[in-house]
Amino acid sequence: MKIKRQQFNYLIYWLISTIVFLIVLLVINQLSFKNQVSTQLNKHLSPELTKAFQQHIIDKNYKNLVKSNLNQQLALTNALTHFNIFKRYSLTIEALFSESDHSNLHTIYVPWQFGLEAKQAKVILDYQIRWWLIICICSISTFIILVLIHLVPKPVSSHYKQWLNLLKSLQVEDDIAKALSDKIEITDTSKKDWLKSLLTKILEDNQLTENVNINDLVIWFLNKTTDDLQQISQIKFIDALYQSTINIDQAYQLAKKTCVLSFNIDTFTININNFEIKLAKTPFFYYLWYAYLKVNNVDAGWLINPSINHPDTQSANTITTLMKENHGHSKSINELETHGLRAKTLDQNRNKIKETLISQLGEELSQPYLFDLLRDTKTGRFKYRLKLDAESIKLPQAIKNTLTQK
Amino acid sequence: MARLVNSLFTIIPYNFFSYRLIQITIFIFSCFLIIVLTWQKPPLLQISTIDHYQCEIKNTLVSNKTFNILLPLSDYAKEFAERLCSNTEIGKQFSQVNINWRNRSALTADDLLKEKYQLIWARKDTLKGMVLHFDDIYQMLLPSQKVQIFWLSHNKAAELSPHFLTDKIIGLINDQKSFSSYLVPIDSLKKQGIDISKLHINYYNSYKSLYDAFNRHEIDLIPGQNWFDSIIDIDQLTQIPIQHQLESGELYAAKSIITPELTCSFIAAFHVYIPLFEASNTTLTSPKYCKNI
Repeated sequence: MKIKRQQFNYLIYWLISTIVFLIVLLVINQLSFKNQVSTQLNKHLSPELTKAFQQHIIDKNYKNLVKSNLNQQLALTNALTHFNIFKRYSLTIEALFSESDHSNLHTIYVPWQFGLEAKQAKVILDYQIRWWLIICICSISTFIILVLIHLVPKPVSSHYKQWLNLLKSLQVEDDIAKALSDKIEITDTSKKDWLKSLLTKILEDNQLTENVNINDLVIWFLNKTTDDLQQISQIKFIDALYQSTINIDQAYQLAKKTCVLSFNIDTFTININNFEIKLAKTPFFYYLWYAYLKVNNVDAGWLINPSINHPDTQSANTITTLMKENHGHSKSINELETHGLRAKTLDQNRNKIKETLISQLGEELSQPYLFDLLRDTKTGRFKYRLKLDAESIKLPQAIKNTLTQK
Repeated sequence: MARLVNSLFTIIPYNFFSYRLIQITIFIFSCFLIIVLTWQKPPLLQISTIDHYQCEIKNTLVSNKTFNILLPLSDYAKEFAERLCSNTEIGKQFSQVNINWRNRSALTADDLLKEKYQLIWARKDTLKGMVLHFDDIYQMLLPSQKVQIFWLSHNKAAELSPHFLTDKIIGLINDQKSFSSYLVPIDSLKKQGIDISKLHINYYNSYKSLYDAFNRHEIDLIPGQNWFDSIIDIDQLTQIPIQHQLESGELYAAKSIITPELTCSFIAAFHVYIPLFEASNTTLTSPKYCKNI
């Protein structure tokens, strides 16, 4: 639709310029033609007229003789070949003595000397215009002119140059950099700002420059709307780009301001903003347990490390049930049943979770999904809970049932 | 090509200004090209001088023989030629009639000796000055006719007397070689015993300015001929004839072609020039034998 409108505009330009051109061409040609004829008449007809009456005294019929003689001579030159937009040219003396002076495109007044008096002869210049030819010439030539003018490459703006330089310094090849700069040039200013700050940050960081395929990144960027970009945090996005295992689309998902953590109990994977991370069986259940405590606001999600002498048997029971129902590791189940929940076990599993997340997401990006740490005022021991808001965590339905029955 | 353009624009900065400049250049250049391509050139005019009139003789007995006539004026040339062309006597010797009108000075001795013209209207003095034995080649058909010159005035009581001229202004052409408008009028005043130095005379550079001034009644007396009636209405004016008359010249025919019949035909045809001599009451007299032919 947009293209059609543009084509329509060009059509209008073409039409208007054809008409203007037609008028200009006609005016110039007709005026110059009349002027040339007039010059020739002044040069050739005028002296002959003057000469013709030098031997004249009183005979009034002689004027007619001169007129018809000259008209016969003029008629001989009327048959011509070298014409294109004019045809049927003819030149006729209408009057040898003319008083009026209403000159127009077809009337020429030729001054001459009648004895001692200045006279003027009225000559009619007649021709026809080959309209089809002049219209063809005008329309075709204006079309060619418009195309030529349109083909002149537009000068690059300083912004375009900045983009080009930025992309080139990011090791993008010349041709690709030009193509990308062209496209960036026509995007929204707010989007451009976003990309500029992103690319500048990437440029400042050598590791990022190596990791990220700038071409893919810019193409991905061009396909996103301003709204899409507003949903994510650029800092998070850059953090995600650090990870060579995370592609741009995944990075985008991870960088979203809203965090969503869900658990797949069948595969022991957690899903962070559609990014799946597989955990080892035992740490998975501990992570799920912490999540459960947070979601159900048990002690505001806090779990105090049990003391060495008094392992937490109540919690141990719950976790054991959870593991048993969901194909947990038998070794871990045995340990919990014999020794109860110990601080050492908790620390070990939390560390494993932390390691896995950091290895996948990096230090920064994994922070929201890790643990808060606080010293319990009563017992003097450390207590831990998930940092993530309860609303952002989605527990599997099956687990909810199991634990609430407990 | 693209590389060349690129290297060019590293030398000349390619900015918005040069972009528009290139567009305008393309536009102007194209317009110029189209105007040149569609330029309409009128054919070259070639107009030959109108100095002759030619007609074919209807009942001719010969082919391709032209009867050439030389006249000092272009008046009535067509009528004269047509009359001759319809004449059977001329048709016996010629197939066409060609009337030429030239300045009196255009005639050369060579023209006369070679009998280029079979009929000539010219002054005897001029012809005899050119060729001594002119009378052996040409025969005079008609004597010179007199052309009357007048003094013209709006004043009904106009006369050439010192009394009348005291407070009058006389207009003359500022050309001391002019027979009709300077020499002859001055001479006529002198003959009346008038002191030229006491007269008030205005000199004009052209006939037009002279007659314009006369028509505006700025001057009282001008010289004139009866053929100026296209400029001033002579009939409404007081005319004082001047004694001295201008000679119009004689009519001559080549002796090699002349016969009594032709002589009569020429004189009869020459009557078309009567209007020129009306004021001088001239009659063109044909030889007596013409009545019998």
